[in-house]
Amino acid sequence: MKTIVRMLALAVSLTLLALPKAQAQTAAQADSSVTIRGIVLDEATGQPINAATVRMKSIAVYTNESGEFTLKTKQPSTMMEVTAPGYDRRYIERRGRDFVRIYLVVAQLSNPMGSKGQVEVVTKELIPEGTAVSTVEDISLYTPMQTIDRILETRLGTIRTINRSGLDDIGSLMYIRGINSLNSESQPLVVVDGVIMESYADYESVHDGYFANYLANLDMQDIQTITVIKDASSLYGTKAANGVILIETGRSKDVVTKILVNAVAGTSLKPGTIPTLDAEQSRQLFSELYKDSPYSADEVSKMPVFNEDPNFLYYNKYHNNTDWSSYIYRNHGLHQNYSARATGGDAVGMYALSVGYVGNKGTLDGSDFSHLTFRFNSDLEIAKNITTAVDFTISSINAETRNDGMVSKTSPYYMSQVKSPLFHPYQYSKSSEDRNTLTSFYEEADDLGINNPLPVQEESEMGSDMTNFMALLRPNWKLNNSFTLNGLAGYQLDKMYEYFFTPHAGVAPFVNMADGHYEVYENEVKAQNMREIRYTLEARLNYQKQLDGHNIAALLGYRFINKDRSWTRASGYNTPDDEQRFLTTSLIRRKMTGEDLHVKNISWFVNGNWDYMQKYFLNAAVSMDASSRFGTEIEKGALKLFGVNWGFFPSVSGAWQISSEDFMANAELIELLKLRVSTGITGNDDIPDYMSKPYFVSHSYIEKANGLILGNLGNPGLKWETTVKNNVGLDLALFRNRISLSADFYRHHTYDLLVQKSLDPIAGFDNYWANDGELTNTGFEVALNARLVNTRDFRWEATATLSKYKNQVTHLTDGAFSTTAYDGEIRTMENQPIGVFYGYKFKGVYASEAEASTAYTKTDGTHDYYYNMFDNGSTAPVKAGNAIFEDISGPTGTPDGIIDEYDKTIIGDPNPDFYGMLSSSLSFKDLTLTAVFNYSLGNDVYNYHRRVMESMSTLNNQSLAVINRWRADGQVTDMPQAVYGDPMGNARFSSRWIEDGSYIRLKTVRLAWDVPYKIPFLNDLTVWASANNLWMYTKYLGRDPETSVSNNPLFQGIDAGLHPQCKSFILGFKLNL
Amino acid sequence: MSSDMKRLFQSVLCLSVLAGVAACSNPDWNEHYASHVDGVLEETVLEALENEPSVSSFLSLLKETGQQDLLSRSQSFTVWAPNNAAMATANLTTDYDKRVFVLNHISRFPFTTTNIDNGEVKIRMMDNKRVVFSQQGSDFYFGENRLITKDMALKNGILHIIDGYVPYSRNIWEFIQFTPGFDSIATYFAKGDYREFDEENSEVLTIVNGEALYDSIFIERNERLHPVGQIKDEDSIYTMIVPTNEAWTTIIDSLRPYNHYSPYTVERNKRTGDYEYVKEDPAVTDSLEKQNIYDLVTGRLCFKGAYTAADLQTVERIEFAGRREGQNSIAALRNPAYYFEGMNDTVVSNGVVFIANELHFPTSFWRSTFSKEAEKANSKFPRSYDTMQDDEKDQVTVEQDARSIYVLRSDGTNSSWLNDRISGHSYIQVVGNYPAARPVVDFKCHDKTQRSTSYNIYCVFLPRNVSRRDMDSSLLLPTKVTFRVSYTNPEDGSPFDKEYRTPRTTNPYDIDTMCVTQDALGNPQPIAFPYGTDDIYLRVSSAVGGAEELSSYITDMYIDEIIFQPVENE
Repeated sequence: MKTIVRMLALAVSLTLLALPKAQAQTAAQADSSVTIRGIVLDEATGQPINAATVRMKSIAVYTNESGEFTLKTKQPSTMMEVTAPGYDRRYIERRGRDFVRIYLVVAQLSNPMGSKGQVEVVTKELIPEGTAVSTVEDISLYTPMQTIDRILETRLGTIRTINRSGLDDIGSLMYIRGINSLNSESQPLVVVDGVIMESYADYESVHDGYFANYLANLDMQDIQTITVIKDASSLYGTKAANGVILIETGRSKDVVTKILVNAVAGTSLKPGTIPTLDAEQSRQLFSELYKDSPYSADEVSKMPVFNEDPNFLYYNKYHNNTDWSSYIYRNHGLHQNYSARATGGDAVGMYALSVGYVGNKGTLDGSDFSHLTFRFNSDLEIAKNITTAVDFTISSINAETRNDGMVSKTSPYYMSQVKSPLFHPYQYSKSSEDRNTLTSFYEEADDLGINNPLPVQEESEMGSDMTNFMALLRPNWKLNNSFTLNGLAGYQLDKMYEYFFTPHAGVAPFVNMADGHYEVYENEVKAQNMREIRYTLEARLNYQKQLDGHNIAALLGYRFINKDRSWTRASGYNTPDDEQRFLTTSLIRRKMTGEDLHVKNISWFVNGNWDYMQKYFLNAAVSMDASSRFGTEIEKGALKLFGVNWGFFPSVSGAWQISSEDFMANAELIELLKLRVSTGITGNDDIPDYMSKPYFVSHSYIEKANGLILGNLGNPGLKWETTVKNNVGLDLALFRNRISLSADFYRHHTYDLLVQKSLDPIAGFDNYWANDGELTNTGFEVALNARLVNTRDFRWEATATLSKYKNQVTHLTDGAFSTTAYDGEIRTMENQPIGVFYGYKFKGVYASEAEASTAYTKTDGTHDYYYNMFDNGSTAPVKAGNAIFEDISGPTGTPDGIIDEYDKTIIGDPNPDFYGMLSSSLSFKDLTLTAVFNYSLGNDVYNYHRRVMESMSTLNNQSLAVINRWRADGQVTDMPQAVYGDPMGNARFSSRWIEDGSYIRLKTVRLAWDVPYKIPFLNDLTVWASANNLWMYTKYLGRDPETSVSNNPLFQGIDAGLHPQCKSFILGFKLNL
Repeated sequence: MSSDMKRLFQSVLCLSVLAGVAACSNPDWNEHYASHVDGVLEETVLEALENEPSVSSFLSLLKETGQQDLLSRSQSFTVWAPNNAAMATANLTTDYDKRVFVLNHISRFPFTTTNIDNGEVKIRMMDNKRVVFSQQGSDFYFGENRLITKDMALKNGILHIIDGYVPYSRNIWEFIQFTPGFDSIATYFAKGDYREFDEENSEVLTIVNGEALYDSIFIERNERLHPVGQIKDEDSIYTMIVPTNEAWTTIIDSLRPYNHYSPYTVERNKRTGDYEYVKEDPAVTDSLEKQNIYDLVTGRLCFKGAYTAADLQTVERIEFAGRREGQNSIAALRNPAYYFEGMNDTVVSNGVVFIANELHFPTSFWRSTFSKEAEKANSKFPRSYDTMQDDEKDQVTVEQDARSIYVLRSDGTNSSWLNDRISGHSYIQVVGNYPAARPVVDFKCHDKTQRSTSYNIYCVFLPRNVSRRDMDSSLLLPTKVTFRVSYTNPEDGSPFDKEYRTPRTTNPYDIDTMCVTQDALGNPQPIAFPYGTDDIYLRVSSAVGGAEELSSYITDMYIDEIIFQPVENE
């Protein structure tokens, strides 16, 4: 709270410092008109620009043939807006000058930094000048296989964007300024045309490794502006802790009918895989692993994989050299994207109608999808001073899926990696005369228990269908020159249907003990239905006044959101055959579960905005939020009004545009200099539904009787997480905007973290939700843009961003705790960042027995082995060929020669040291070549994929790296020996699996040609080609260091082998009719 | 060149450099997943032998016996190759000797000196023999032979060179089959070998003239070894008494009078539905009787573990090796030195063989004690004749006033301070319906190995504090019981029914093995069960005399097992 007060004082002081001078100026200027003369020139050629528009508030003049203009006004401002066809819009500060020389730059890229003041913000939100905000415009050109999260990745390097996987529609995780929550939603709030979207971060798919990306419902061509609010200056109190992304869809601005057509087609290439052992190497490894298996040497000798007699009846079955990845990947994927948009209207109504289709055939067989979107935006004049927007959107996504990654035993990729090349996907003929002939029958799961990926790939039936409908009514009543009343009524319907079927063919049945007897499961069926309806009602009273250089704007608003979600999931085993792929009553072990959820949110908000002569800015806002998720007995931090607990979220921001001051009149090198400061409180209300209340759930007792049992204890004191955000920023532009810089420094402090606390077993529950713990995120963001070359025909613009955050858990009442994920341990502890990996330090492999037997030096100077401590308390010496783990401590706090729990330590941090993007845009006449790199430095990745492929503890096929495994005394290597079951824990969770996930990737390189020829009925034609993910520099040993297995912030930086990003090549054109 | 073109050229140059960098974007990846390994690991074991002149003799023998292909396979082997000096001392004449010699120095899987834990490890060789791989000081030994060169890591295994060789050693089965003088038992065992067509696991290759042509899978079995032990198997270690031909014949003949097989079987009369005694075919009865005796004799000759004559002097008991029904802790031979006295021992690869010229053992050796776990019969079946015939399991039935029987595990939730002494770690608690109830419990004891002879029957009671040692001593009360024994004479179907009416008081503080079959004066009165008696019923009844005795006795009964102890020299 002290910090807020200090920041508030700073903001007010900045304003007050300048205020006396401002008042003096006002007195001087109030009574007389001002004449401003100037000349507008082309920066590249120095030639005057004719017919450029120079606007100061409501007064606009045009330049003559000499580029000169004269502007007279009685309401002078410090800012002039200068536009000219073919040139970038420019804002010029008057700085008390009577004559201004203005240079315009030929239109090229919109500013990739997207800092405010450089672009037009069309959002209807009040975005204060002191806010840390970024915007993106002109999206439609860059839309191959993109969703907005991936747009932001390449256009705003200050958002940490992590692709969930390389599947084209699966989307990305976005972290704005660190991570503000341990267990709750850590993704930004997305608001489309004023309506809050549902992220479905808590939605659990029936498919492993798949995420139903709600952002895929938005067609990029429909998006006009994306505005990202990073600090506390928004009106979304309890929902804004992770930042807010405001999206405005395109509307018609002109009565002239315009048609925009985009067509895109391209291909993507098969991704690389971790190289695996070939047949000979695989058999070699097996024969070593079987040494410690339950099988005797005699039994092993009789195994068909070791029978190398070509006359053996099943020789062909066990002696192949199959490249399994060739059966699950296509060499090329195919992508198509077609969209058309028509805009126009008349004096009464304007419309924007668009349709879009995306068809994708992924490189991973079974990852095809199609999107169909329809949007109709209209603006109607109902009566004088009364208008309304009426919008409809329908979108449909049909995605085919397969289990992905190294997690599921029915993931084709998993099988293709671990299945021995000795086997073949198809059966050989059993006829003694025709043994070498392959049949069309799938081979069954092999003797090693690994399924056949081909039938799983081909005979599975898995998918996810998502349908969304949104209707919006946004009336606007201009009461008078000062007051306007806005309303919003939104209806959203989301429906999702997921289906899942794994075949019996090629899949090993698994046996399960159920109700005291064994059941054999051969194939499996699952289905999940979800329907969610949301109503949003909002009303705002806006006030706007201009007086003697003072601009005042204020609003009072109310928002109500009602969300009803119901979902059911059903599953069972053993359909009559693989052709019956749906739920029937004949299934065994049938299960059905579901929920019916109802959540309500209410928010009141007030916002006041003041600026003087566009030099001094001050904003104050407050929102008060209540939610049905909150408890009824919140002890601290809530206002109890009308029987409801309200969260109170104030914010203040201020800015001083120094470059607008008169004393900057001669500082012509400085185009823009602005200081920004903001502070405020935001919240996170993503409490799991009904967790504050006790409730009962239905329960079936040994499938004989049904009843109700207590499902949750409830915590009536449960409330939102609170994040205090402080920000100081600087915007600087030099040399006629040739160089511009935007820098922000911030500190977020989150308290009342949502955590699960343990309960005494007598309570009947393991844990309950509560508010406890604190964390901070401190960091900076710097964006630098330079127009390195700017001639008439040749232009080169480069942008670089650098961001850093330091995340630190500062308080946990119950102390540190561990979370297990993918056989790894994630530690949450004070003074450490979120998500750190906790395990043993791997230091190599003992090359010889001599080395191992003297590795530990006792206190008396003698030497001994280190000893591994096992769960049952027994120990065993760590001998040659075993992994060396650092002996960090013991029960007495000092190394003790025993490798046990005391030797675990922090072995990795998934949070990056720095991240950002680099972009370069070269233009030569009508050609523009753009390259965008993104990078992440210093982030550690737990390579679970590699762990599966290098543990050498099972009969799975392994990566090629294991051929360097330790075999005999004296062999120097970092790869331990192969031992079935890994009794010495060589493959335990350790730094052996933690890798530097730093990378820099050429995300996209694009060549666009604005066709200069004039064609009848065709206003513009742009043809372009782009290549994505062409190159990456990294030391990472997995397929892609940019991956995320979960929305849970604790599980960032875990590589479970999900589909990597592929190289793709796209051709497209855009035309305006 | 104009400045614009110059800049364009520079840009293209930059892109070219970038493209060059792309070619080596992850050198760590290339190094980590390198497809080759350095040095000797590229060589197969066979190639290493060929490149090592000091083992040329072994290599020649390897090739002569056709085993060279084995060592060039993409599998994993370890070779302890005798050097040429050692090979010169080996006397190998037959092809069989040469082959097993080679296989006796090759093992599947890699074994290096670091695999030696606690001084030694036994390695199974390709001929299935086990050889000790050991460390003594800084030296390593394969059998008795020192490793001259050790731990050569190769592409498909490990090569060691040794200064001697390990002779091939026979196992018990081979000893019996190949040593003259044991033809009787050898023939008996050999005839038990058979191959069985496994239709379930065999696959139909094709159909010829409507007949399925199988890829036949056979199962090799020898059920005659079931009561003996897996004496063919090198993994199992045994000590076995091997009778000479004379000893074998003598013992078989001597046991016949005591091991008759019941000449009757019980069959259901299809017309009346009743069960009737039907006389068996004498030839069948004779055959079954002989088989019983063979099983009895062979089942008493083989013991777990390898014991030389010297070892047996210090061992108190050795356990029988074979599989038998009702096997329990009593299936062991106490004071084995007495039985093995005078026999010569021979060490073989899977144990020790004692040659017996005669088998003059006491009665108890051939007719073993057998016991019944009380808890194994916890089903409450009506005691009808049908059930007695159909159900092969033992039964315990609750009668009269008994509310229930609880089966409790002494090593589980009802952990007991007596756990190690409780047979099978389980017992039953018979609980009365009400405090003054006098519960009765019946046991049906069925044992196929039961022979015709006289037995004393014991019932083992546990004290009340079996699961709570800290029980107040005032609660440690005994119970009072009576017994009743009955069975049906298989010869004529006549019933035997005897009650032991004298109440007996159990030990309230410790396990009490109470003799059932004794007279009122406490003298044992063994029961001579007729030939072929299979089901014997024992009733245990509470004899606590009314409410007045409830302060001194408990009516609950804690019963561990029923023991049938054969009587010596009946």
